[in-house]
Amino acid sequence: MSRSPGTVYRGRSGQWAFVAHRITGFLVFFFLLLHIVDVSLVSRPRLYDQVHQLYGNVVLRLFEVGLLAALVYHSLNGLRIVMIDFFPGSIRNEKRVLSAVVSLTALLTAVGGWIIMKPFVEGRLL
Amino acid sequence: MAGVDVELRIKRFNPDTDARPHWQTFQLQADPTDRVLDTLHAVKWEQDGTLSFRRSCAHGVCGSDAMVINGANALACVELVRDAVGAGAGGGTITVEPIRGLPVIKDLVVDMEPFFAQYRSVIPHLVNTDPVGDRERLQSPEERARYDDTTKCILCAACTTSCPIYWGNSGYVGPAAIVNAHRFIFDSRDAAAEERLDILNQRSGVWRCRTAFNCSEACPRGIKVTEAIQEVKRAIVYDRV
Repeated sequence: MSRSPGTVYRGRSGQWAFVAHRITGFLVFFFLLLHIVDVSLVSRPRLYDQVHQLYGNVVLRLFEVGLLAALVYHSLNGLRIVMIDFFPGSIRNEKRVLSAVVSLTALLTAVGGWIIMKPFVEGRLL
Repeated sequence: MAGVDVELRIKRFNPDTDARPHWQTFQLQADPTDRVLDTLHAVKWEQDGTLSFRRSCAHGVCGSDAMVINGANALACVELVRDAVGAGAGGGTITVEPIRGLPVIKDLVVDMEPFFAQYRSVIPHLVNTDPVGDRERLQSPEERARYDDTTKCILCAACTTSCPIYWGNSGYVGPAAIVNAHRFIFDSRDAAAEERLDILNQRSGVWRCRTAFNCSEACPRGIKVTEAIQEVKRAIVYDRV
């Protein structure tokens, strides 16, 4: 006899698309809160510049790549959900639509990530 | 056919002695073509008579033995041991838990009453006040086909208890109730579609569905549950059946 915590329900792609949608939604919302704080500093120019310089730091740039991935996934998956709501054909091809969402997210994140991280790769920033 | 060694891990709960559920493991031999239900019977009849679970017809028709098998909802009387332990394996572990989102009474037995109350709330029967007349209410094959998929429901609750929204919000009527509303909403002989759509347009209704598709994957009858829910949503939005 052993005690054990709960198990994770083994849903398929749709369940994980749903979970990822919730998590990325939270992350984007969290960033918006942060963004409201940093933009509200505009009345104090020196502080504003100092805070915004932080965004040039490699850790925060990586954070921005993550934010981009979350934003792109959340937007594209949102469109997938709208398609599922209005077009019966996309329900039957729901898994293929999800594959397209994931592939496009990876592609756009790679392109955007390259642009965001380029200064570090080229050694212009540290 | 050669038997396989099965380790059956069951999530057990006895309300008289346990504060919380715990896992118990049983070792047994089974044929690959046995159903998971047969292994539960073997445990109950030969090893531990206190094990509690529901089953009635034992042939995938009555819908009594939906449970979480290896992490996903299925009927124990349909799921084969060879599929549950993995193809080609000489044996393996099968985990069995009660379905989620409904209160556990004992071991694998849950209180189905909230589920049936949600089912009853959508008026799951034919409503037609026209005089009966002296012949059947005829329907064309196309009219019958419109709701054919949702006539297959056996109310096993595999869909409703696989829904992540339902786990977190027991006020949601759940996929099974919507499937059974769908069965009558799109029936040409029925006269209460509008009433059902009003019920499902409330906070607890179809709008709680976030299209995670767990219900469609879980249905042992292969009903396209998410598709049915979406058809009900569109019937409400377009005000058209």
